[in-house]
Amino acid sequence: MSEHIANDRRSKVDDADAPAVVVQLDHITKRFGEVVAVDDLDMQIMAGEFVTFLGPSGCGKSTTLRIIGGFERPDAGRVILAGEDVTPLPPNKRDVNMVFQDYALFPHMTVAGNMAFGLELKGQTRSQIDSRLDELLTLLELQNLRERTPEQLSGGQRQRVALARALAPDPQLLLLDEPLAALDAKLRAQVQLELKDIQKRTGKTFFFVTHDQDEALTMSDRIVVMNHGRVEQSGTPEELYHHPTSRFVAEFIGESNFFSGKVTKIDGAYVALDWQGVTLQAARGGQRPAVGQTVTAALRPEQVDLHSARPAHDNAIEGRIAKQVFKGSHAVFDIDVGEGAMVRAVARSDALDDLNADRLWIGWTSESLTILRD
Amino acid sequence: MTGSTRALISVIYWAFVVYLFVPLALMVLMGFKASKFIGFPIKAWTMEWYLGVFQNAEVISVFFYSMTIAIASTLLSLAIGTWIALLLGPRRFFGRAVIFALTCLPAVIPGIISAIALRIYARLLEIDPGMLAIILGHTVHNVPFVALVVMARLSTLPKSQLEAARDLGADEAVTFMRITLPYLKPALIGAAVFCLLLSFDDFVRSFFLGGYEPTLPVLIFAKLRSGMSPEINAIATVALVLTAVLGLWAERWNRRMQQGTAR
Repeated sequence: MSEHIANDRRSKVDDADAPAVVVQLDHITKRFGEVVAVDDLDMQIMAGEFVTFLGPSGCGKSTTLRIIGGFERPDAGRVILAGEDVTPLPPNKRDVNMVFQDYALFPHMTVAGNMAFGLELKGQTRSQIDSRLDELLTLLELQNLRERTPEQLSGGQRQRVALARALAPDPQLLLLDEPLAALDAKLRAQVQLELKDIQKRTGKTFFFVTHDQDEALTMSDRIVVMNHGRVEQSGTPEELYHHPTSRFVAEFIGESNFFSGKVTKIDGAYVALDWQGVTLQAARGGQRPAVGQTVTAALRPEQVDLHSARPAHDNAIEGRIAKQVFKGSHAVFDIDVGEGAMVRAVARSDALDDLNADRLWIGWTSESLTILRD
Repeated sequence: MTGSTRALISVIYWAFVVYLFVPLALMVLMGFKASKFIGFPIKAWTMEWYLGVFQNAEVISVFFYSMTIAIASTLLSLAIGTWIALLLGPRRFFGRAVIFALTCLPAVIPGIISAIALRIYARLLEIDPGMLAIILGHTVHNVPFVALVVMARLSTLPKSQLEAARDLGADEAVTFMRITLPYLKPALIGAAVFCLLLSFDDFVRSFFLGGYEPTLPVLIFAKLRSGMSPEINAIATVALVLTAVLGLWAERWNRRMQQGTAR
């Protein structure tokens, strides 16, 4: 999926002629005073994709969304929508619709009135509008709420009406600005699945913005992790989780152990590094370190196995349990491996039953330890 | 709060209410006196004065004259005040504070001073004393109230509402007509009633800017010069009832606005 990110600075607008590209962001930069919100962003979104922009607040993800929607003008670069340069066009001249964080439902209109708004402005006839409303009300299970006003709806219902209203004009691209942030945790989990399901059934291209890694991992075909206005990494949820390329991604999505050390040997796709006198085998993960260079590698806690004796893994260290936290289905163990260094492991909560907590071995495969970009 | 302070406050409150309403009650009462002179004792009662108000062609024509001025100046004030509020509302620009201060100024200038100034200005513009001059004078006085009420309401309109309308294909004009204006509706109704009452009630500006035809307050003033009579009480009472009803109805909108309901 990483080919969607066009790092090639010579990439031309003509590339957007390929039918599968819905939006091309052509070296977009946006500043607010001294702050660079979006820094030379260059990427494409393909038709039918569920793309999530993930990052901490202020990383530029919402600004990017608003630039595509036409609410912000980029200082440099172009927005190309279905092959057409829409950079100078106002929001009403763009074939994209947005689901707002506060839903922005019109309080003086009914559910049907809200949904019909965009269709009326497109000049559709009453019967066209009615049939489109019927279709969407059924899809989103809102049939009984047709004549309600927004204040008579629950949070989840409002969210669905906002989605229905944005889908109604059948846009090229749907922009979703943290639309689940206002919902409580339980409802949010359910709505995530619904949203993914609706995206699949309508075949629409979704551009979703969130700071919640759970949402991103659950729904996305592709996640674009942003930080300081730049793309940190882009890929499928699996790629990002199992093979983060930067420390930021490894920390922002899930949890990681980090090992820093000098490279002692390079063997094809694997690298040996010296970490506090222990030799660790790591996967190169797309990086090209040189022997003698100091690198950092990341390891997911659930990849760490606990053993009573030295395991057959490429990487094994002896240690003792310093701390353990029971979480029900699993437990989190902090293992002291000497000189105050800690390795975190996530395992079944009964993993220690046959082990000596003061003297055990931990191990992990070389594939699970990924070298990060500096 | 102890029981005694609570009782004291309650006593003060009711004393205030009595002080406020006794004059009004007296005015209403005297309208029923079967005599040409105001004052106690009331020996005989009559409906004559009140019925007279509705049969007096002069009073009726002056009433409609006042209403016409009130409605015209209110519509003008709404248009100008809303326009200023929209201009000042969301933006920060150089000179905003000055424009805002100038907008509010007519509301705080003493009536007599603004009335004289307006009279001189109307003459300069060759506007004859009369209906047009009064309408323009009342408008100058009312615009600040409209602008302030509309600005307050506008500041609570979420920006995303306007963006959502634009997003769904509305240009700026359609967004204003279909989103902003409906949202402002309670504020506009509240401001309109306030303007109607201000204009209907105004004496000083109407007196200075008026021609031969008097407005209702000016007529009452003219009648007073020929001595108090129950007839004046009856006219004033009818005006009181009408304005009170209008004012209370407006209060309903005011409350709705504070609850944030746009409908």
